[in-house]
Amino acid sequence: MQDPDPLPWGAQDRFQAHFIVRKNDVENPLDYTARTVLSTSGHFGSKKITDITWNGGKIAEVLNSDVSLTEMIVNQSPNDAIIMVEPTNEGIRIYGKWKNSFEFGVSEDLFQIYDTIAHHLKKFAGIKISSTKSKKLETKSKSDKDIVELPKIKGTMPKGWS
Amino acid sequence: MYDSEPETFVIKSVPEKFSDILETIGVSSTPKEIATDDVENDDYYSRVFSQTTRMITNKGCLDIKGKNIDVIQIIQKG
Repeated sequence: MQDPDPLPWGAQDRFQAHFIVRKNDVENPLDYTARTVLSTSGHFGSKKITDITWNGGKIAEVLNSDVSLTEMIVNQSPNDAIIMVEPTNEGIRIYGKWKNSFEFGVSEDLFQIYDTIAHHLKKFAGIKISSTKSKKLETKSKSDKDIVELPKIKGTMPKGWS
Repeated sequence: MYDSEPETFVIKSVPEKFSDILETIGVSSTPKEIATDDVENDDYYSRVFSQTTRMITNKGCLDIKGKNIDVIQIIQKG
């Protein structure tokens, strides 16, 4: 008789993007290991992040000291705010939770968060840093300019509209 | 049925699709041929964290320009 509830097999509809900083032979891997611990309020759809802290090795202390990074993460959804940093043989990986193919992607803010973490990792590991600080400020001012207040629509619905 | 135009679409790999997403947020990237980067030939997790996935499939890499992130690797569960 055929199994009425067969086990699924093969690759699942779950994707993850690993944002990698190249570094071979990390001396003390635990120093480069960190993850966010969230403080939240509310439940389900109305769940909001009130604060985050980094838990882990020495890099967690560095990341905790960056207040602007914390602010950026607090503004993310609870799923996106879970970020892991861990070293492997070929590089230090920054990644979030698994996402299905519809949700899979990265927003500008989330990429900025990953890039800032990569900046701290490079600084901590003594790797040459690309000049993103100025670019970050540029994008911030640009986004401020982009915010245009839309005029409020006034009026009533036509007769018979219900 | 036969009068309608056939639907045409370009088949893209996962890194190519991800590269398109990055382009929309102003990040330039280059998708690479699968299994051509060093990061694909080693462990994808350090196993320091508990409950990391055991069975994973490599979907390829992207090179990032002008950012602190050097490379992005896409992996699929299972």
